[in-house]
Amino acid sequence: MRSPAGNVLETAALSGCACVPDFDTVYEAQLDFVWRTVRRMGVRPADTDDVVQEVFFVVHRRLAEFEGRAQLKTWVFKILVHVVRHYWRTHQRKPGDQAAEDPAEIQTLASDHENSPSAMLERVEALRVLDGLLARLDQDKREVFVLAEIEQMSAAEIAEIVEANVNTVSSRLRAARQEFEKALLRFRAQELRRQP
Amino acid sequence: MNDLGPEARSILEAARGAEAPTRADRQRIKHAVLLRVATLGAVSTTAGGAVAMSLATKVTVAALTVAVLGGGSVTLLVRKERAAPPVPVASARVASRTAHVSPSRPVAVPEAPAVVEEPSAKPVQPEVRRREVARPEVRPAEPVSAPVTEVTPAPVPALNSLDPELTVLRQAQEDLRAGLPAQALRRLSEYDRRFGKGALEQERQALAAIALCRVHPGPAAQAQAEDFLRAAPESPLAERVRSACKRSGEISRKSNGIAPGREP
Repeated sequence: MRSPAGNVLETAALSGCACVPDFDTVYEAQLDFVWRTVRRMGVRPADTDDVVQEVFFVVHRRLAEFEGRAQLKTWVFKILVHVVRHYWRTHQRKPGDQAAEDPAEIQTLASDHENSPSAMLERVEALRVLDGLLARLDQDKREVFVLAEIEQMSAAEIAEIVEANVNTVSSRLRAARQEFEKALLRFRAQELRRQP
Repeated sequence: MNDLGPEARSILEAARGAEAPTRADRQRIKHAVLLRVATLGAVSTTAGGAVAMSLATKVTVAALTVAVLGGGSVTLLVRKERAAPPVPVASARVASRTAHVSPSRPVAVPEAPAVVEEPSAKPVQPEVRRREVARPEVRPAEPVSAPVTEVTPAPVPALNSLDPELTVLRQAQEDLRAGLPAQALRRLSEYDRRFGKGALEQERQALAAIALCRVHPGPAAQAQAEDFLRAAPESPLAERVRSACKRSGEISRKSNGIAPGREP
């Protein structure tokens, strides 16, 4: 759901307004999205704070350079992608290298935002499965998949963020979807085998 | 493009929006970002940066050390800024203009480590320089008799000079957050060894009291907490110290034969 602050900023961007939004407004409008995406991009829960901080530190440093030509969310996401790529490099791990995240950590994160125990369990399970499946995608496909399927961005927006052309994005997304479906099938098959 | 099957869609739908930072997360991250801005001098790195920062944020940057480390630091930062050497200006008018310009001027401070951008893939837009020139943030209200570049004092080095102290205190703070109070105490001992009665001594005292109350709640920890509260009753950290040392107080009172809840 988009916040009122987010709406104001996007409207300003679409109208070509050259005004530079202040950091507080950007932070409030984009934090949820940055936090969620950092998590889905394979950053460990224990490192989420640090990576989100790094994203907003860069946002703060470069805010004056925001031209209003791109949507603010797209601009922030470009920064986010660079930060997460750096994280992967420095931690010498790729999204595809890791197994599913620790369910306890996922539960901790999800539990603050749920209303009923059954809804919580459903979402915790969904997050656990989702992170396990995303972990099987390589970095390029994971970025595109998360942006398209979770953040519901268009191929053109994604192309701008990951600095690739639209055809490349479409191709990565197609491959990512196929791999995701296959991984889901394998996951369900393993579950069936584990059941008594 | 191939569509996903219903189960994959259902997983994505359930996961969408399931995670969001809590209010505490929001505050903690923002404070950490702004503290970093303050300590690394990014506030004044670009002229435009100051435009983009609201007045509220500027105040927050100054107040951050309070929020994260303790109350004395705001006083400290303000005091250091006021104590900056006199500006070598040619006239009173220039001095007046300088006072308006200096916060947004570029200052030679260490840049943040370039951990993000790859050389060929910066999220920088090409007209940045042009925009900075085209949108000066300070409109000259009157003729200026000397170039602004010659007359600006830079308060940021005062912040930078606190970096080593801040770093140790931040690490101790992170240890406390991570549930490692003993490690925090070791870092605070290191602070003592390196800085003695450093500029952030009051913050060190508060963190030491909190850490001690967690490691060894009892009379010694309580005494440390009381020392701090006596010295800095108005500190924003006072409440945290009271809260962290509540149990120490109870243990201390029990060991003195005083019923809980009754002040000696």
